[in-house]
Amino acid sequence: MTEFCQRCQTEAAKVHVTEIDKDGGKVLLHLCEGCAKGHGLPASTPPTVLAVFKELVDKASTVSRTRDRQCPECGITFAEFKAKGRFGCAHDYDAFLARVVPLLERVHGASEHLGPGDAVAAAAVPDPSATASGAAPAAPAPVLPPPARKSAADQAAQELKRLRRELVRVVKSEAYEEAARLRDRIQALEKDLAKGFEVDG
Amino acid sequence: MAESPRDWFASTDSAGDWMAVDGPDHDIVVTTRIRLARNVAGFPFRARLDAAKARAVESHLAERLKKLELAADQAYLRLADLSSLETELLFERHCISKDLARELDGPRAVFFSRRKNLSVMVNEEDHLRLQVLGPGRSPEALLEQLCDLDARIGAQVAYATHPRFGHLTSCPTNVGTGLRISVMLHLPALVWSKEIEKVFDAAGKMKLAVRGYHGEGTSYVGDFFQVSNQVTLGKSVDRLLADVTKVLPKLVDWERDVRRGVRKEKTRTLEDRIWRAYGVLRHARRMTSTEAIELLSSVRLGVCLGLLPQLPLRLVNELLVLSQPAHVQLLAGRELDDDSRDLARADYLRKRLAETG
Ligand SMILES: [Zn+2]
Ligand SMILES: [Zn+2]
Repeated sequence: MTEFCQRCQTEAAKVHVTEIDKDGGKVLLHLCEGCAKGHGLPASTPPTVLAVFKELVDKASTVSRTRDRQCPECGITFAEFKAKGRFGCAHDYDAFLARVVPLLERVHGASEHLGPGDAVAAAAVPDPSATASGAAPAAPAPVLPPPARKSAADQAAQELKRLRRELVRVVKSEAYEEAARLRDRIQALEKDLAKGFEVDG
Repeated sequence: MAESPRDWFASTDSAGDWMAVDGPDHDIVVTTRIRLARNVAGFPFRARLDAAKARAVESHLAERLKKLELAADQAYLRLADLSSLETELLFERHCISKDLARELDGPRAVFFSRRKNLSVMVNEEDHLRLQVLGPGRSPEALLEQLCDLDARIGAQVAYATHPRFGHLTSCPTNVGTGLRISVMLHLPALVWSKEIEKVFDAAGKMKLAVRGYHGEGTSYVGDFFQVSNQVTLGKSVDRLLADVTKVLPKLVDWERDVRRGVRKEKTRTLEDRIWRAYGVLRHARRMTSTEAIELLSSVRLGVCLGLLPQLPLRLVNELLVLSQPAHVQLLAGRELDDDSRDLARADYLRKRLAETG
């Protein structure tokens, strides 16, 4: 779906440019519209549904951006992550959960490892009991909850997923008031979820 | 015959073996590479890995990887123990990534079996990058081989995983499965007809990326392109593989259609281009690696269309690898500056092509 812009690594790449590099080789650049403009190229398309949606999602997350929290484990901030496009440690996915989820939705069209029909392939994630013996000294063995248990957080995550799908739908139909209402609910839910994760550690 | 990896470096016999010379679409589908990104639980990712911890990751993994009985010819090599030429040879044979070879610093290593075309990179963008490389269209078997390797490493190493997001990676574009399937295609007709831009657009719509000869962030030369999945999260590895493989026949047919059209309507132009490329390779006295790849691409098309019957495809594939900078120096038996390299390259190509008459 969305490829990241090779310049800023944060926007979706919309423009594909062929450039001649210093060795005379051809380089294919995938850029976002902003960076393509800065590159002296015309933006390819008028604002798309995705762009509008993204704007809404961005607005939704500005509220939680009031202070730039650091990951308690590695000290990275979300701004640092955005600048480089790389996380500092495994904990960052939880530390910035409210912003990670929309990011993953944007990149992968999903924010959960496997959908309901994919249970068989869950073998792709190792069984933690099998790895316990060889674990790194400092490493707590990764704990995967049994699939049957549905916690409140899981339910909230489900609801969040549903709301986001709904948001895409209403943005497509240009029902912006409804979109704004959904955005507020998503935002509130994301906050709850993020808080929940902090409390749970 | 337990050859050391250095014997492998020193020999050019199998340099191009990872490219296809048979199978249904070997004229277009050159090679398939599949990789998995993994991190070790309890260590920061590369962006926050200080020198001491990077060494700790490397020795932690070295100890465990060396225990695996992967293949008789397996080897664990620290990049610090290799000359820059040897590192480049591994890169030119697609055994290690450009990032591991050139961009990244600190303690890096590769554990590999060249017979099985398996390699595990240590301290790449993620602590571990597992990859398998195979000629042409055999992705299911390759994926199985890779998942088996993943399970065996996973039994020794605690991977960083998350109940919701699956395998955690440095870059969120790899999270979940950590899987990237890249199929290298040779699409000269689509490039000549300028329809390649449409391929980029179509691939984008199908959530696939199109990249250069050596993958992410590399130039595209010689009409070789890598088509790979963008999405790594929310789908099983089998479904991700199916997403890529279902597109391949379409791209293959597309390239074939254009080849047919060009051959029918622009016969002279096509023949001129192929024979001209062959003529230059056969007689030039100085040649850069980019020029060599561009010309070999035209010659490769000529071979696939039956216009150059005296040339085996295996030789063209081999020359594509052997005309790259580190291999030219390996063949010369010493380090060469740019200009001497261009002279040596032209000499070697002339000699090899003359042998076929
Ligand atoms: Zn950009
Ligand atoms: Zn962190």
